[in-house]
Amino acid sequence: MSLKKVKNFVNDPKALLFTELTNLMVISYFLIKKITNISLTDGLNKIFHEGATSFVIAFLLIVILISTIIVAIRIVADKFFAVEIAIGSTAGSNELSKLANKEISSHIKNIRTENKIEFLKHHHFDINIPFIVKELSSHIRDTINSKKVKSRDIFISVYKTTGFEFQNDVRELSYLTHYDPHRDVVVSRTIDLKADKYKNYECVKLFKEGKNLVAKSNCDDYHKTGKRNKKIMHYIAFGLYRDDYLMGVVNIEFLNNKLFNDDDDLEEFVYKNLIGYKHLVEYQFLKRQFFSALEGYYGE
Amino acid sequence: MANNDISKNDKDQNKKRYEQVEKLKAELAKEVKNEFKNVREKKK
Repeated sequence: MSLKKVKNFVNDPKALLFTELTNLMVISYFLIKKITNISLTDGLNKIFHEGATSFVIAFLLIVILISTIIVAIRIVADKFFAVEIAIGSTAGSNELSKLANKEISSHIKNIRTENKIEFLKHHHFDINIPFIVKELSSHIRDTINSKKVKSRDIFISVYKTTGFEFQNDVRELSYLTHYDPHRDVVVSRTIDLKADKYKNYECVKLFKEGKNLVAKSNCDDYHKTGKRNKKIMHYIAFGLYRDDYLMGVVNIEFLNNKLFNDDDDLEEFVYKNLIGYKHLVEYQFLKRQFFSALEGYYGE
Repeated sequence: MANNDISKNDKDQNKKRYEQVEKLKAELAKEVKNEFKNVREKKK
């Protein structure tokens, strides 16, 4: 048995339970004995004959001895071996960073082999955004780390401002993707940022107020409208900007479970855990706009 | 007034994109793993 296996064994939850219960029983016994003068041997002698009592006492002593050995190994192991650390899964971010590097390599290759600059053609914006969104959804569930929160409890949708690639006037948002794709939900195709009809939409308010984040921990006011809205417990919207120019919006809805007590709680969660993903989505939008400008520049 | 909800076609297209994402993710995961494997082999 390797040292690592020994360390894992003595720190196993079942081993911890065993040693702690044994310690508790031994301490309790001596405490009761001191106060009441009750002896275990006398008690056992009343129940069993003498031979059986010796056997029970021997068994209990072995149990105490095993527990003591486990505790001793645990103390030594914790003192001399590396500190146990919880390693979070970074698989998603590994693949996202690999994707970004691979795409740049492919752009460099295309510049060298093709006569015409076609950056937009080789930038897989329509796939990259869903890729990041999917990873974002898994990341949220991993971070919250509650068995209660299932994939269906997180709903993400992404909108772009129509014609953002060409830096057109910001007038409306148009649907790009939503996750989970297998859920049959009602999602608007376009949202007119200047129409009265949508003035209460958080993404419209975000645009009008020039905010880059909306974090609502209490969504009771949504519950009056629409079937899906009844399930929304918390809501987050990220504005994707290039300077003051709104390129798109990421909406995140937390459904069914109340996970945050107030807006401060939710904002802390966002700043600690989600901002990186917002930047990854924003990067794709910026890249799209940059390539469009570059093609215009060199395409003449 | 025209219906502004995304259509069945939009939803199907969205599903297809996530299927492509799955394939791409598996491919990239393999590449990342191979990169790491190469480093380990060089060490030996």
